[in-house]
Amino acid sequence: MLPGFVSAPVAPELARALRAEIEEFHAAYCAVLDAGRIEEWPAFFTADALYRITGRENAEAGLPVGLV
Amino acid sequence: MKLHDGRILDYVREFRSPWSVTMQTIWPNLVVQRELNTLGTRHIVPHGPDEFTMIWTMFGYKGDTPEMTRHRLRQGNLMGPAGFLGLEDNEAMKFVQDGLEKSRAGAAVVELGGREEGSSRTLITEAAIRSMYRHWRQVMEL
Repeated sequence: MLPGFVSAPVAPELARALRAEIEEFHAAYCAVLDAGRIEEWPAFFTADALYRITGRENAEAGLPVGLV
Repeated sequence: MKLHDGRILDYVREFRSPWSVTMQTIWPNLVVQRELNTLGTRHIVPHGPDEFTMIWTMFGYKGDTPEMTRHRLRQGNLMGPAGFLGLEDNEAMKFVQDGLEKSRAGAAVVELGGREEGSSRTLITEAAIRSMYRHWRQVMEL
């Protein structure tokens, strides 16, 4: 898990209510990327979001570089 | 057209050098490079005549501040297979590879800049390439 991420239990009713919303969000996100509408991609993130790219080799070695 | 975030091109003068970029090729398959504040190597590992792997390694100093490390990582997007600068280099290598494959059984003309070899006063020359091939022929005993 990324440092700063805290896992907490969620009440089942709330989880059920949010699931559809979260799945729709993921579907919209994927549809935008599949269509190549890259200019719309940043809108899915909050202003203070950090999008960090890494590779398996470096993630396992604890190294920070993520070249695309 | 302008970048929304210009920090990727920020340059912190950390060495006593007039240059913002330097690339040193160590024969036959290694480039040691500095591009602004990115420090790295490009290492070609051939897998036969038609294929190679390019290994990119990027460096920082142990004593770098977290801000400098973030800066090097952000600026590192200039490099790599799809880097803003690296992408073009990779395409150029593909052109070279395609050309080599077409001329493998014969000879190729490498006369940009005439026939001088080694150091040159201009970038518009293949002097360094001619030197490389001369050395390559010696090593391969051709």
